Amino acid sequence: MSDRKPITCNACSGEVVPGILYCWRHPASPPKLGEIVEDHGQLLWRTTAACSGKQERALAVLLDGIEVQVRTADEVHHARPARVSLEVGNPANTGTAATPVYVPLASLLDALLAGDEQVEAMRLA
Amino acid sequence: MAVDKHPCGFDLSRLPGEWKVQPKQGSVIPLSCPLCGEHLEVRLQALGVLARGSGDKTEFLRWKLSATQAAGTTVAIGQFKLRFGVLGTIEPREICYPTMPAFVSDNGEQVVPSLPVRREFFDCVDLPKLARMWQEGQRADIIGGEYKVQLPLNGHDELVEIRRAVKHVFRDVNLRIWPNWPAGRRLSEWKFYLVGLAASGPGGDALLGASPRVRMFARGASSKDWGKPLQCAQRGGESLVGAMDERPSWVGLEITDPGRGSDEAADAVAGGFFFVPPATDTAAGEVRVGLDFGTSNTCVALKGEMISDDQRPALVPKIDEREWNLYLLHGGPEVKTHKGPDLWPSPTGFGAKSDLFASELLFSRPKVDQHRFLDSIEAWRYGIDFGLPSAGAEPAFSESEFTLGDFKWQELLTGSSFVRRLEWVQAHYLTAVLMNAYVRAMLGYRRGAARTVSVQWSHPISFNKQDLRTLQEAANAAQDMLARLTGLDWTLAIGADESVAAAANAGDPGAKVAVYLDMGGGSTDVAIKLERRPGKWEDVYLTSVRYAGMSLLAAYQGQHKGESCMAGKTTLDVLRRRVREAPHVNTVLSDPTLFNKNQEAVTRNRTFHFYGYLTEYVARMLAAGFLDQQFKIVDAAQNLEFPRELKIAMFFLGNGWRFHGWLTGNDQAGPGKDIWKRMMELLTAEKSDYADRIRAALKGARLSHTVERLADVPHEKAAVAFGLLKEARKTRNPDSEAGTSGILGWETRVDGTTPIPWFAMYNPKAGGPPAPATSSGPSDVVVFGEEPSASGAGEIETPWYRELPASPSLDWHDTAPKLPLNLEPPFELDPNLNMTRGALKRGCMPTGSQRWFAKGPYEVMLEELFRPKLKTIGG
Repeated sequence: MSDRKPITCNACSGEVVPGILYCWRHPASPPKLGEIVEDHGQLLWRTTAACSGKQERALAVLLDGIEVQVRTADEVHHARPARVSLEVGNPANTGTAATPVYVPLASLLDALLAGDEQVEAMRLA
Repeated sequence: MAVDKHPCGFDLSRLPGEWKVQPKQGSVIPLSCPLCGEHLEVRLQALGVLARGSGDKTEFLRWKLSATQAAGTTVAIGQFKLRFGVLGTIEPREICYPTMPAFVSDNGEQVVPSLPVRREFFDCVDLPKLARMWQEGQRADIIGGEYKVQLPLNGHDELVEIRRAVKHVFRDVNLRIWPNWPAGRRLSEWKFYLVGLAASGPGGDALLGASPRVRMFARGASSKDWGKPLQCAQRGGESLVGAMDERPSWVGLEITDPGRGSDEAADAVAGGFFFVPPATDTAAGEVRVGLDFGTSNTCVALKGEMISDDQRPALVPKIDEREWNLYLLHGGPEVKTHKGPDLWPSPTGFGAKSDLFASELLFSRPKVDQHRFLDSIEAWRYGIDFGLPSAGAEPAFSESEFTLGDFKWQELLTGSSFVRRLEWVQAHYLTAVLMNAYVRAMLGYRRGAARTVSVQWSHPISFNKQDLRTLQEAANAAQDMLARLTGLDWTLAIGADESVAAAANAGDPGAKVAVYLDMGGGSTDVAIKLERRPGKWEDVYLTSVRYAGMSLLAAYQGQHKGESCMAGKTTLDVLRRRVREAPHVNTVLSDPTLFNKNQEAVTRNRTFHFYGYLTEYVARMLAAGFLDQQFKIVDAAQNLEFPRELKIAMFFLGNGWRFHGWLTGNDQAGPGKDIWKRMMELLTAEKSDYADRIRAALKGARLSHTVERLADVPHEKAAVAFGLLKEARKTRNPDSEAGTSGILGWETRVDGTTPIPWFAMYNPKAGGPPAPATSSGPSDVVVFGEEPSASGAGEIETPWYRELPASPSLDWHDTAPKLPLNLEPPFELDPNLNMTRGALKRGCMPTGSQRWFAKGPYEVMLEELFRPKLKTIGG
């Protein structure tokens, strides 16, 4: 789902591109413009109320090349690399145990900017 | 154009966006990371864009590399674009110093900096690439009198050749970094570095000296404090020093007009930076360290794979200055005559084997000024605010004004403002000594670098609780500082006390009694041990008196000028330094510039009295061992008996005995023979029925003595440090264990009637007189009496003295046994003991209501009467 009208930061009117979480134009205390949540077993990037207009993009998550069901998603900005931590499971059997994995935010940004519809998750070391 | 990724993984070149650069932003654009929200800086220099001027008038410039270069106002970082209002051009040579300095090295070659770029344009250079080129041998050079270098610049793919004129050539200067590490073993953990520029000869005056014209800078990986000159002037202005908390990567010099070196506004007429190879190695393994912090000298021993394969301890070796310092420029050997204090670490120590540290701190300013900085003593830095006196250097200034010593004991610093922060004075000293020792061991043995350093430190048993607490706090602070400065894992733990540690080196001399006499600068520790059961050694007497080497040197100085044994303007500090450095004391005592030849009889007499009063006490202790029945051993039937054969082995340890050899002309024996002879006199001359029975019990016993040297210890001063590495037993707990115990040494009458014999023990922990012991190829063998005694010693009654009445009055008469005739007796030194009586009362009965002596009167007299009065003894 996308709008032709550009989405902008309410504070500085800078354009918001899919995948970013903060407005990079601010030297400090940048407004939170985007968020990543779980939505119908996928990852969903969407804009926040700090933006003018709404936009969202969904991404399927692959683990070892196979699509998995996202059960929970948490942004962890201070991790290195910064990431979204996920619990994923078998979409065909929702009763099975979840596997903890993560997707680097940089990979997520690349995928969304490239117009990809899926992203590969990484296992915790 | 590549820029570094943000630590969170964000890559600016992947972000579709544009930023309009405003002049007032200068050369750094502050943004936020769109992924983690943290600070994100875009440094224009890293993109090949320079900012000139400031504020709204800032101009932005990019490299002008050819005449046909296309104009434009946008710089792209991948998908991210920076748009400038105006973007001019600049030629690479415009970011360089106007001319390059050259320096003549000690082999006659001219050395030039690796990088001609001004420090404010450092980020324009692709420094990692330049470092790689340097290591591959692609370096700056002088060709045809012109400086030439190929530079990799950010924002430009090709190397750019820079040529500059060389107009200033300097000689006799050393640009150095401490510590240096062997190639391939540069410790990446190590944090603390000193950077220094020092004159190595008269040519150095052209840069330093009276009209300084140089500024020094250093940059590490973090760029912390970059641009701030390193400007701590030392050696009377002949040396500039700065400290860093990371290994420097670049060290640079800027040359100004003469006399304007310290003026930050003065333009540089020449300059450049020298490359410092990076650290690549890491430390591993463990080394154990024994630390003997002495009043005058400190000794450090090390043990572990860093030192040897066979786990033998060793002392810190002397290092050649070319290995000790990393020289970026070496104009010549370091100068030995210092016009002012030099706080730079020294590669060598004091003493005949150069392995001792002077227990002193050297300041760059006089002590009277330094004390004004006591409130910030926690922040003092080694090499900047204080240093360790350098062995082999000849101070051409009044060193004593800049030197703080005697800080081991609180009492010795009484009256000095430094006593207020004594634990930090000690902490800085211990930190500097241990850091220095580690580096010397690493460079000297070249067997690697230990990651874990376990230090055991010692203390004299005469330390009072306050002294011990202070040193404990100092050790804790030093542990933290060492960890921070070196990046290694340090632990500083209290080890065996000094007498126990020293005794741990003894081999098996085949004696039943071992006497350890460890005389340092500030105290003499006496430990007398008995093998009461086979293989079971017990401390019989264990004490310490503040009567040692420094007391003798002070005695030479005399009370007044007219009483001094020293020549001309020789001060106590000068004498102390010369004694510390001399391989043999005879070279000091026979030096007419130090000692007044006309006063030789006085010198000799004071030396004689100094040792005489002490050895008299030791002789009395040994005689007391018999008279007080302390030397009984357990026989086969588990009874306590005097042994039929008793050898006493004496160990003379520490530097304090060195002058005794001058008296006797024999370095080896020490005063062992005199002590033995006097002990026998005391033992036979004691007049009482009780003493007769002791002598009867000893009749026929074969008594002998030897003077022993410690096994596997390089010299006497190393005994404690080595012993700490051998002796696993911890020090006594002053609150729960027996503590010190000596003898009264002087007969005392209590309440005018009850005599307490001189050979009775004192023990501050005991509630009453100490209980007697219970049964739980020697030279000069003396057969005591004529025939072996048939009677068992168990038949002798235990000594007759008993508890004291509450608040006793003590009479101090010069009673038997009198001192030998050739020693000035107490009542000659202090008529009627008018000056000493109070000290005796306070020392022996500190609370006034003890049931027994807390200290022996002889020990009090050693410290309070004999020591000060040595200064007045004539020829």
